[in-house]
Amino acid sequence: MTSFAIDVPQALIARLKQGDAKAYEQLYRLFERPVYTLAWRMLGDADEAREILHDAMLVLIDKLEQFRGESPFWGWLRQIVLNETLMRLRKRRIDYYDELPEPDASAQPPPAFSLESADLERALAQLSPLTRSIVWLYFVEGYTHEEIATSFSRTVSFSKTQVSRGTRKLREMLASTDTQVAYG
Amino acid sequence: MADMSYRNAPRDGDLAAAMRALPLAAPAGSEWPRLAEAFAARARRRRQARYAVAFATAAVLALAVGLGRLQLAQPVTGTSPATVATATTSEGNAALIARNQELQAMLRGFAAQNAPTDGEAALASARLEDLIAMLDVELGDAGTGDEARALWQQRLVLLQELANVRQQGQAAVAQQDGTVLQPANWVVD
Repeated sequence: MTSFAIDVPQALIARLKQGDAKAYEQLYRLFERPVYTLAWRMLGDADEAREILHDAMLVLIDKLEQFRGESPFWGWLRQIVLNETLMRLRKRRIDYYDELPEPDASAQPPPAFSLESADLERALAQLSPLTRSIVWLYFVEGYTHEEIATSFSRTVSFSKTQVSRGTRKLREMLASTDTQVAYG
Repeated sequence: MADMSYRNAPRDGDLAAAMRALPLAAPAGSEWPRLAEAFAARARRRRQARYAVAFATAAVLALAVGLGRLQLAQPVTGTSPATVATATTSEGNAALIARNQELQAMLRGFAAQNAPTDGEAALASARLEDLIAMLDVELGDAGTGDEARALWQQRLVLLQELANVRQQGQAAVAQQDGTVLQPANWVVD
């Protein structure tokens, strides 16, 4: 389950809507890590992830009146974080039109690989921000290819290709002992 | 919205599980102090704007009462400003916005007539226009909830009073041969 899936009591939401500063802090404490983690995983930059944490909380408070409770509060917050992070990625001028070929089904499967956390961290850090973002949203946050395609304004095929390519690269890197790049 | 099941990774379940098992990251230091300051600054700005509008509204209405305009007025829509305010407390935002638009259209009619107005009415009009402009700034920051509704109600009262003042100013000039002023050049969108 995604780390965002935290039940936010209605009473807390009501206090937020009343402008209660203590409620703001309570909300921040609840979601500091999930918000920061998603931004950091996507952007790969600690300073930018902090900015997202800051900006997303401000946006959330600004838009609070628009929250109708039709979906979980955490899901609404996560979508705000995703939108803010995608805006950052777009500012980096990532080429969203970099369509990749479908993976070759006849290719040899990657060898057995390590699943040590440190190795996995290093391997993730070596993926491009775009591929890493999509892989993370798909595997960890549970987004569907359709949802990812909508968020990135791309096709479902694009999302599938990115996940497939990212997975293959991760497996290859984990099979090697030479992975060595850290997040900024 | 994504659902919460990990339906995505039957084939890559080991890799997906390993990613999900990674510890959450945390910023080097808490971001809360900076956020708290940002929230406090916003709250201060809103409070100041609200006080300014309330104070100025009271001042303008006092001026209008002092001029005897409220007592003399034949309200434009057949109701007094106080009646308008009371009647709107149960209305939704859409209805309030519609009534604001009706009054704005009426005020545009006054502007189109380009009729002269007396000095007192011109002064009261200018102050009311300033208040409405301040409310518009607040409305841009107020979202769609209770706060916005209260602001739309205040705006409606001010528009009503502005319409009264302009109507009476023109009527006063029509009954005398004294010096006149051109109407304030504020244009309602």
